[in-house]
Amino acid sequence: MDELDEIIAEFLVESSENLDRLDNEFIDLEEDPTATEVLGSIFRTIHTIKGTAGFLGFANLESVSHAGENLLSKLRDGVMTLDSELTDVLLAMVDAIRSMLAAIEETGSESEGDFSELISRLSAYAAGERPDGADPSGSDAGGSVTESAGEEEVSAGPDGPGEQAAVAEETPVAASKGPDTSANDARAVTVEESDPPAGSDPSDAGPEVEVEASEKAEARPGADTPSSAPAPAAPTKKATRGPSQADSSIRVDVGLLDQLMNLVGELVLARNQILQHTSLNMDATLLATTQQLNLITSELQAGVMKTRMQPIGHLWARFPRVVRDLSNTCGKKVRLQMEGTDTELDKTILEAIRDPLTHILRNSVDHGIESPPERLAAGKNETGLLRLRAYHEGGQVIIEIVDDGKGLNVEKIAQKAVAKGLITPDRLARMTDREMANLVFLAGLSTAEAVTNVSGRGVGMDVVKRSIEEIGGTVDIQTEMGVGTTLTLKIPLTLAIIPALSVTCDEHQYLVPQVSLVELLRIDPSSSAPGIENAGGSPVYRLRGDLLPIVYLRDVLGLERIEEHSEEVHNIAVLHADGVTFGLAVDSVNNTEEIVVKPLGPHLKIIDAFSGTTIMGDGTVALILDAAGIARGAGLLIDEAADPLAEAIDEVSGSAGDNHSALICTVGGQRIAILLELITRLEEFSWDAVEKASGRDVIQYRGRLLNLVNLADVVAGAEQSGASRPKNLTVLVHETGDRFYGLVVDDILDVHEADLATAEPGLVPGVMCSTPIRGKVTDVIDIAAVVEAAAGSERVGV
Amino acid sequence: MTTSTNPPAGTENIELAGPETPIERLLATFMVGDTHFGVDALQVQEVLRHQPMTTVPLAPPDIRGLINLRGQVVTAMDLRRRLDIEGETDPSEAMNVVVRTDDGPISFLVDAIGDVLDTSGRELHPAPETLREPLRSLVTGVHQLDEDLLLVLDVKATCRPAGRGSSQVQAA
Repeated sequence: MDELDEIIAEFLVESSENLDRLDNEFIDLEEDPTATEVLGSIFRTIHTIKGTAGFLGFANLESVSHAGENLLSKLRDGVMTLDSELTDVLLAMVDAIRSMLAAIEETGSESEGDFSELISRLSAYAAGERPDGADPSGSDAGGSVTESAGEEEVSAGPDGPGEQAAVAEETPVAASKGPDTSANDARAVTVEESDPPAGSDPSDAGPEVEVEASEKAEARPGADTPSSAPAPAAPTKKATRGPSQADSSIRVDVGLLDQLMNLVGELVLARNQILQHTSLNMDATLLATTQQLNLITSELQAGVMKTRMQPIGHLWARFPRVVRDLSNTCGKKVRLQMEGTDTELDKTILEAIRDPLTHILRNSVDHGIESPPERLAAGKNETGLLRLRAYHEGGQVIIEIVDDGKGLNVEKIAQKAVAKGLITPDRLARMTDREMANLVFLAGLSTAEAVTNVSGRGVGMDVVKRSIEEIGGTVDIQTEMGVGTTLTLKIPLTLAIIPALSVTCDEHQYLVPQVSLVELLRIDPSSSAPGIENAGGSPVYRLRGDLLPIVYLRDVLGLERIEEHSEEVHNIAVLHADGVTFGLAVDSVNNTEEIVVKPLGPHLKIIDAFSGTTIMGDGTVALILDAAGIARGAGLLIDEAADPLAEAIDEVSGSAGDNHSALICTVGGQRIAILLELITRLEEFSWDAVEKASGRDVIQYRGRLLNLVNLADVVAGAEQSGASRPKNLTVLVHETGDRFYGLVVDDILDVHEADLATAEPGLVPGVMCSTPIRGKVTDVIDIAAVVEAAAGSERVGV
Repeated sequence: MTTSTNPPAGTENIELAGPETPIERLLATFMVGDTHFGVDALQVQEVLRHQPMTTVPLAPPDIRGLINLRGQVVTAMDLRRRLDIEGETDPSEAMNVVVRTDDGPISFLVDAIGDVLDTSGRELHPAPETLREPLRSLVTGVHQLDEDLLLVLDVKATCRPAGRGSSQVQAA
């Protein structure tokens, strides 16, 4: 029984591979319906499935593939020519076979589905009938027969009775092709080897092939007595085909490869330790042996890594079908062009980019490429071109998805992002076109005017971006209205072993993945150039005209700073993550190493600053820094200057609890928070604008009076800013039903998410609650109460 | 039953010697402060003397660092802090009781290793109601030994990081 299971498993694997190939072959065929070679290949695949299904007793599968085979044999023999309609029905058959195979895989037996409709459709087409009454094997089919009959070994007359004969004769031919088709199988090799003598004597070849056929494929009654004519045809045909893939490759369980990969990782670490040890040793033999070990390990590592590598074509194999189906549904004409299908990627990465890539592709067809009339009107070829391109560059794999469609309406996207409050108009004004295009990756932004059944399925562009970033990759979009859109994905080759820069902070080594590293800076304060400067309390460095925010790793890790920052030599690693660039100040920079990434345990996963661990050459454990996490922790991804995408993503990811955006301000030296939703505007007035009305400070504002409330009077512990009043008045405008109130603060610091669900209720009037915001407990001001109190005292005052 | 609280010098690994008794009945015991604890011996992967450790900044206080266990990175949890027992365990002298969890091994840092006890025939008493947290939720029962009481720890619950993430305030 076990053996049978094994056979079934093998059958399933083989069939699904073959089916994937089929999809593409059909597409190829649609372009060139006379490609008999392709047709032959399709025919053989279906035939093998039919044969094996019969042998294994899957009756449904057998009958469906049999019906398909009949139709295919007509096509192959040139009795009919493939057209779009026939392709559809044949693809439907492929889908049916696939679903049946899936059922077999799941349950071990065939599903009870009813395929009689499909079978009758297939048979109808095979018999030359068209449900819609289209021209059967008329002049069209007849013409092509004369054309292709010469190419095929079967010589059948195009006329009615002849056609019948061809079908009858076809059966033995098909049966004798059994072993031929299964050349994929190791057992078939033996047939091939015994062929030469058999080939010299056709009468011998018959039985020889037949034995294999009945053993490998199936023994249909018709196959029992193959006529001598088709029998020798099998060997000759075999000779023309190249050796099958199976001869030079074996199947290996991925789990085993993973295990090997881990072991090699350990070996690399052990090698590193030995290398370090022997560098102190003088023994020449030992040194030589170590060198040898070093080389072998490196080669082994590369070799094992390679076993996990798969050409990206594997993943792309199903795209022609996706694009074909999609463009048919959308009524568009799209030509898919793929370059660099043999570019290799780690299997896990390949899996990870499957869905994002499919989504991008769908998007391009659905939204990017215009309908044929639109294209013609725009002076383009009515068939849109979608180009997939993959290549290696700088230790990464670059995947480009280029379409020549209408491009993105950048302005519209930007307007929408502003309208949805995802970015501020200010920010928009400072954005380049490219930055604006990248806004499509914002969560909650759909540019499709109408949601079709194609868009909105599966993942959105924000998820595309996130899933690519999860594997250490990046996404970029470039677009030109009316010309097209290019999406560029940069993806690491592998996840398991990465190059990283080792840095030291507080005598401990940390590692920065090379992907997030831009450059290294050494700032010497003794030189005349300005070093790290202070911009409103935040350290920055002028880097080629741009301001580079500086983050001290010691601060990030909660360690003490050793001395005044301004006097020491600074080692700065410039990092880029999530769209922000910042300088990470470390104690010293060491060297780059290849490291084996190991995940953090559940207790430490909560720490944003680390993405994993590794074991260094000396056997110590070192932590891998997460540039994005550090940027977030330092607030770089949240403030105004930060990347709008990350900002919005932060907003989205933070929306789980009772989260509110809070404006962080200072009043008389106290840090307070005010819920942003209660503030209409932020204004700045000069002191001259302040006037008195009913004994209170007011400002004329938008044709009405803005009643000033000095928050310093309300906030406990705030010092009255009497003498050192700033030049201008910073006012938060709060609108109640009938009045404007201006809350006067000293300084606006930042906007942050505050989780009010966990906040402690305030104990003092005017304080709504207290909650930690960015690590500091901050009082959230109860504006309603403050304003009410102000209004009350106003009344009392009057 | 060969292990003792004072292992001979130079022994890196103290193997838990399994006697004829079914292993399900065995408890690996250790001391944290003056308290005697036991865990299901089946869940103990190995017991090690002090291991060099990498401290993790920003980690919860009971996580003392990471150790390299033959190429595997293992989180070291200070049981004294985890169980809120007074005093300090010197991490440079602590013993490691490495337990298996679904998320990979975790090492309990303890003060001393005790015997492996056969609990067959002994009654497991429920933990006293007066036991304070977090012990109360982590101790599954108490064995009355001749010389002292043995608190049986729930390894899974002890290793669970849940609930403590919220005390760590990370921006965004």
